Amino acid sequence: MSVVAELRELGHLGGPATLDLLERVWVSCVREFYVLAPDGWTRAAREDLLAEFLSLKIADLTEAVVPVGNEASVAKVMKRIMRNWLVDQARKTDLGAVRLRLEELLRDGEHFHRPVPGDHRWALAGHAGPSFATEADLLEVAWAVPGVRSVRWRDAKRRPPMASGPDLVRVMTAVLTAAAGSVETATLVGVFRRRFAVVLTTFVSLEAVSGSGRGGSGGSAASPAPGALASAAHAGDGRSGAIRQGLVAAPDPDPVELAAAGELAAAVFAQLSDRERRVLTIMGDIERVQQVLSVGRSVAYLTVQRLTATLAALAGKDVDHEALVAELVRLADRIWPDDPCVATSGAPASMKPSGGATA
Amino acid sequence: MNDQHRCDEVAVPAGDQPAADGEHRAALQALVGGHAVAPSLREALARPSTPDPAAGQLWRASHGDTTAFVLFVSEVTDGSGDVVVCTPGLAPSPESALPALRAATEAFRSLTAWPSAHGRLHQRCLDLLIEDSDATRALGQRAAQARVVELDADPVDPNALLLAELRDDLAALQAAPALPVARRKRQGIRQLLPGSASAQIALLRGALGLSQNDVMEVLRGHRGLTGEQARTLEAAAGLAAGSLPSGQDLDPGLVAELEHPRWREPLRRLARREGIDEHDARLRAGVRAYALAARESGPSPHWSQRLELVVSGKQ
Repeated sequence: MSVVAELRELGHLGGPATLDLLERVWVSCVREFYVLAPDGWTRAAREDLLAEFLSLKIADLTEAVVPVGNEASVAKVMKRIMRNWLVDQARKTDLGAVRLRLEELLRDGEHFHRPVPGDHRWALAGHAGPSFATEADLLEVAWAVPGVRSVRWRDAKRRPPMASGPDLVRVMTAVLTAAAGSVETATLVGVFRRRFAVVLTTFVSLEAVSGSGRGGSGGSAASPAPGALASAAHAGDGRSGAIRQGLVAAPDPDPVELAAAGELAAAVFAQLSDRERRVLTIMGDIERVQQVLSVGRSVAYLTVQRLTATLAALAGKDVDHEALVAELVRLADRIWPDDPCVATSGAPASMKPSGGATA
Repeated sequence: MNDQHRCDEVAVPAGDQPAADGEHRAALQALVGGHAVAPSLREALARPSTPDPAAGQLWRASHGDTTAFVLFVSEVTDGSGDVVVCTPGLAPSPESALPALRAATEAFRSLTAWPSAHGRLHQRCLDLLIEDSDATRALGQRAAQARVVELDADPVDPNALLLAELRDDLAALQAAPALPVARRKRQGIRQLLPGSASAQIALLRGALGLSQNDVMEVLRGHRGLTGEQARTLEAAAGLAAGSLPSGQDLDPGLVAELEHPRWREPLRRLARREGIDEHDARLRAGVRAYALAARESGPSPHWSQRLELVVSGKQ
């Protein structure tokens, strides 16, 4: 009996064909979420987490899947429900990891202190009373700290550090200075999570190259600071618009500026996933992105916007973005030479890089 | 049509097959088997209802491999209405700033409407009515007035990817091809094609491979296009499907009947029987019903009666 027939007859997911499909979809979903399996995705780890997922979400999954009329859509809906739940689980581990990092930073920083020993509030030395600043106020201050570059690893087993230690200390100092009083650790975690949201994609394997809208899912909600250039993309946004424009038009940067941008570009490029590098070469052509990733227009557009935001976060604000973009595209073009950004390639290109160039 | 969810989406890594042992499978069955959907939903699926679509109704819509649940937030006129995409069982992340409206209805414990995944949808891609109740009507009214955001508001919002996928699903449904409708006052091809006379000649020759003589016959109205030629020319000229007249253009009343959801399942059976796709089955049924009516004298034909005969294979 087909999956659709089983669902119609039984009204639940217990049919053999349905269970087979459910397990296959689960296996393909979890492998991206390495933070949920510190010892790797063994069969036991997958089965345990599947049991946990089903115990919590079976009613929602059943309601979502049973009324769907065809098998391809059944698989798609299963995947969406599973992915949503896995993202939420991974985000909880992000929260824990960010908190640990910040507490370490605060404990080790000479000018941070706890006005009340053992309490969960922190302040700059010399401040004792509670702060009246809101999380939104402090986030704005965090965004305004100049020269901060987000940092990511390409290692699927290492949680990204958000930014370098010194940069994190500068942001924390600015935030607590503006707070002019003690702030709850939870509030500081919220501020840092949103400030570095673009690179907190800890549950996405940076080696993932398959398309269909997977990969690059943001780790947490982020409200771009007012006027912030790191946000992905209002068309008129200076940073992201210029980055995208730089990729669409043939950049012709000053050679001196290009040399200066080379080192930064290499550092940024090293932190991009294969998928992001691939999209870099075709960012100016949404239809091409659709074709290469096999996704619809909206997903392609979102993918480009996320990449734009990532490039802005990794490069930092005070950078000559035209020269940087030119260098990034040159690096990517070495891997996918059939899709130079200035021309529309008529030949379909695969996601596989040529020459095995992976960082 | 996007093929964003191909079979390799659920491909299992080599040497890493899901467990098939009895104990594991029994445990899974114990977890899932006890949760069935609401009786009203089972009823809706077992005895499909396809009334005239109206505001406040929740429908299942499909085209190709895309299926979505759509809630009509406006009245339906000329077969089309404004819809919002809904997701049963898939609630918004608590940290998402994207507008989403949750409700419990008769069919679903949890139904979420996504006002930012909205658009105009024709009834030709509706499958069956899932629910028409006070709860869905109330949800439809809320959705009609809800805030809408563009995708680039925050690309790292936890629900940004889901919203993008829902929008693409809706776009795939909106792309379901319409049947060609005969216009009362037929415009000539010359008035409908873009560009100068020489550009139109080049277009016809290039897109259809016609000789110069045949092209001039078409442009002067002395020769009509087949349905396939009209569709090819529309695509080449960037015109909407159904813009150009063809010998397969159908009576507007027949088209309105054919594109009603009540004919969806019978046309799918016709398609399977004749080994063609659903759109071709719909077109073929229309042409046959039209030919049937043309052979009969008397008052205006009842299209539904003709179609009954055609889809059942009796004509």
